Amino acid sequence: MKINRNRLLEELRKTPAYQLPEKGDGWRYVHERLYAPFMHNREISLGALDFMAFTSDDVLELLEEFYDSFMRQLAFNENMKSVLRSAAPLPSAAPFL
Amino acid sequence: MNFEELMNIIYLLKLLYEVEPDIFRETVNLGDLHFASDDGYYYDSIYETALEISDSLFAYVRNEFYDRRGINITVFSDPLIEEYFRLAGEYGKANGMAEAENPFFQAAMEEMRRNFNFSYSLTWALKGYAEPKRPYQSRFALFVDEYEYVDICGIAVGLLRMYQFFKESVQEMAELLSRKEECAA
Repeated sequence: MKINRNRLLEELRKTPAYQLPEKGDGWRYVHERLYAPFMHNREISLGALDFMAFTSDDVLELLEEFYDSFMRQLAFNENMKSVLRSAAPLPSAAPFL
Repeated sequence: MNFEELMNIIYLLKLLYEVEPDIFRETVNLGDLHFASDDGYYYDSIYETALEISDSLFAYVRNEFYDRRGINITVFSDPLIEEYFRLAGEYGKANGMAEAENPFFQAAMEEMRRNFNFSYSLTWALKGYAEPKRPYQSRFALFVDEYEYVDICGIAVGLLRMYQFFKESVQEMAELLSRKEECAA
């Protein structure tokens, strides 16, 4: 199939940018200062963290959401593995198996 | 270090900041704390520090290790705990309630359950006295099986939350009792 590159770029441009869910300021602060840098392997310095900008409940909420999404990813991976295990090999791969 | 471990440390620090900002400022040097996802060193040292900080919140802490059974017993008490049960007793008396029916005695038990019922290797006991015979008689104890795994972070968080519970409840009860006295006058 031939892909029209210009058309693809145009479609991608139309895709809405990722929006953070509607949350309180504290949750957004923790997300920006801790979650995002950690996920991008950047060092986190607590000296720059304003402990007045969030509550302990904000930390718990983010942690709970992280745990939920982690469990969903784990379930997705397990599902994918079971599908792959039960799938028939591609005809071209059969001689190698 | 994984994200969950990092957030546990942040949660501990934030709880301490909320409960006792002075101890936080005296003991935690945030400038020294840097984290990276492949880091292991800070995690262990901060964990230990967190437990020391939580221990230092209570005015009375006694630790005993029973070698034969491999059980570590730590007893915690504080003027806040004594005051809590003294006020709870006053409230019970004013409302003609026995200790078993007193909502404040029950609330303290429930809070202990909420914070320390997370491991089979950890049990606890709480004794509250409305009219104590000696200092620090109102107290709670943690019994930890040394040969099993118990999450130190869980204990540290539990201790901080118990301290927070007694601190906030004493203020609320004092206000409640003073309002009652005003109404009666």
